[in-house]
Amino acid sequence: MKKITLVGLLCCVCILAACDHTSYEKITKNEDFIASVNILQPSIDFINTAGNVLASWSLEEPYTGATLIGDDAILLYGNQMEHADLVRLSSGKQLMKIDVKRGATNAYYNKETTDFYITNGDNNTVTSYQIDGQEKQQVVLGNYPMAMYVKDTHLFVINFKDNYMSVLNSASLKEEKTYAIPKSSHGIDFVDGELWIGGHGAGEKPNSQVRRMNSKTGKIEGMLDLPMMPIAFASTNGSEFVLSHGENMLYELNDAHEIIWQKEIGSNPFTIAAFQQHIVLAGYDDRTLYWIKNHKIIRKTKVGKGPFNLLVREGEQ
Amino acid sequence: MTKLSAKIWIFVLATMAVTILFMYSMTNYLYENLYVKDTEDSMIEVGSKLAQMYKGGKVTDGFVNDIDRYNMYSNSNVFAVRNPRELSACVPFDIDYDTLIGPEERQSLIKGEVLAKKGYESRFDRQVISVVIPLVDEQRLEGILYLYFPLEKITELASKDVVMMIVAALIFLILIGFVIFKAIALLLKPLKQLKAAAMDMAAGQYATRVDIKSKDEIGQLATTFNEMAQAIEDEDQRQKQFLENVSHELRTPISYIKGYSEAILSGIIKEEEQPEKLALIVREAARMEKLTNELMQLSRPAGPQGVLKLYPLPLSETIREVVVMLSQRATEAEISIQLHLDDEAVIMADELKMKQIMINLLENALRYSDEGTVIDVSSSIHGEEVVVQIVDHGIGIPSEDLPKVTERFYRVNKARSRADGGSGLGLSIVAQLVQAHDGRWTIDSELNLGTTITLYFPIVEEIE
Repeated sequence: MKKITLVGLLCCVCILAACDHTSYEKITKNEDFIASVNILQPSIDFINTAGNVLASWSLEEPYTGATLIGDDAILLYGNQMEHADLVRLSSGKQLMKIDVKRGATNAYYNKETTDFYITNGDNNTVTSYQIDGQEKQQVVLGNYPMAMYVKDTHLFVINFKDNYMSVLNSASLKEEKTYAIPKSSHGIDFVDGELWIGGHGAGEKPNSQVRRMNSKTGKIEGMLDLPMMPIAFASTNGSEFVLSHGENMLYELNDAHEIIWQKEIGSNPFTIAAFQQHIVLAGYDDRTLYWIKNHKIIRKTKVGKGPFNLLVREGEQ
Repeated sequence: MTKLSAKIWIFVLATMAVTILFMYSMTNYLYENLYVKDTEDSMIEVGSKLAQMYKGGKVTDGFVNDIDRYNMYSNSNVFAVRNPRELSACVPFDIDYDTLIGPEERQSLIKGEVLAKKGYESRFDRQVISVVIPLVDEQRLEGILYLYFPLEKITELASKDVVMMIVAALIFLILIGFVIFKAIALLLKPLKQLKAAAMDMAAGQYATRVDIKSKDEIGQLATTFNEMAQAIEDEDQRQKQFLENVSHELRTPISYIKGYSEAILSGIIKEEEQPEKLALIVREAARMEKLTNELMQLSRPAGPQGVLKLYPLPLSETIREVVVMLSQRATEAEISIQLHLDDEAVIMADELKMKQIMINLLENALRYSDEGTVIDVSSSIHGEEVVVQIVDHGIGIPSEDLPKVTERFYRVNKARSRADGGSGLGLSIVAQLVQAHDGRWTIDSELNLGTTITLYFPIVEEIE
């Protein structure tokens, strides 16, 4: 009788443990990778420097985004979910479940402070968390905050459905100022001290320009014509790359912000990233990662359905 | 709603209304399935041909202009779309814009599938049939050809003149209702005549006939009605005749009895003549008794109990007994009765009734045979039947009277038979009793030569 009770108890514990802690394939520590976050059928593909798939995580919950937290953790969140999950990469085990409000649009990790931020498009807030998942601050911003970027002590947040962006103190989240930008803006980068903002364009009319702004004043320094719908930036080997998803066009700009190379790549790409001196571009419709180096596509990697986000872990060069 | 005409009228009108509704839905169905499908197919064909002008790469201004130019001469509307916003290219983002195609449609189009839709399109603010042809190059949805055709439903078309249509339909229904009403009245006129005739019959006017010439069911009903009326009239006539006969038959003995008894009472008849007259009165009274007995017999052929007591009867024995009973009369009439009987003949019969049959027949034979003649009575077995034959050599029956001899009170020679004590009911009773024994009989006769009566009864098989 005692034996049966014990076996039953063990079974219960096992089942409960399985329920509570979804486990994924482990990712070896210190191995460089680029991860494609696919959202049409939620999954994450981890690809090493040689272009081989290290692991493919098929996600059971409707996650819509992910971001790396530190060197060995990944934060998974979903727009319609009321929790975000922090998963340790080296063990594949869930570290914790963070309660969030429904409507998460983006998450961003601040390397300097080791805090991370989650924007919410339903409540129009941004919330900061410690690396252990403890909520720190929350502020209300403009309509539908989404794209984020930290520079020095400033957190720049684009309000996607509003006509201004917010500049916050990255630690206290105190709003310092706002800059006027068009609606449906997306994509932020810092180039030569300038704040570069891309966007889709509001309503029917697509946007084809990147606005260069003074990061301190918000003053427009200039406009770059990069048709159509420039929304992603990456830089490697001293060149700035801009992705215009409306025409599947990848542009390379020189220091003078002139186009020195351009090529139509992939099908409806939303994101690019610099990895191992390559520019990697993710085709959303053709579910392919394109590895570009020296103006050539040197590799293509097939990934899951709807790659929307690229996450890069690289050791110090 | 008791009138048949009203029921038929409502039924026909309802059927017409249902037919109109059915035609409406049928037209709608044909419209949906033929017109819509045909339009869709032709748009897919045209769209696919136009899409062949696209040679890959970006959708050029030239291509868009070519499509626009074609649109000017085309039946359906067609335009090229290359704006990624319209093609749901930004869909992972929360777009506050109503795109021309949705994200699922985009996925199908990337695979090169042609889309066909039918329904309300807010952009055109109307119901349309639309066809979307993808312009795909290297898995990139570079653009689409959007073809659409306004889907003017029949209801939409009709809604303009809906009042006129309803009024027209109502007028049509009223007119057709009136025509049907008149037609039904015309068709049912013979039924009314039949009804009136039946009521006349019920009131006792048996000579009533209907005059309907048509050959249809109502015509046949009228013919049958006339036949029935004729039968009722004949039967009525027979009843009257029967009553007349009964009263006539009873009146003669009653007037004898009344006349003589009155004469005796008033002393007109001398005392020495009285016994003779009293004997006459007794004879007439006996005749009346016999007559009433026979009338009762006719009304209840199976006797007071209502059923014949059937059991296997050796027929020869019965015949012999009857002949013995009548031998006195035969001797008086100087007529000999010769028997040729098969003793094997056994039938299922009621002995008393069987005797009655034989008595009636032999009495008749004796009554109408001349002195010195012979009556042959024979019985024999023929297959499954026992055949009894009575052959006399008397006065015979005229052939025109033969079919009527079984009628009640029918006499071939009225004066003679009444004088001989015949009631005119004997053969009627025979006919009834033979039938009650599952038998049949025939009469063959030749005037002045004699009469042959043949009876047939089912034989009883001997139990082994």
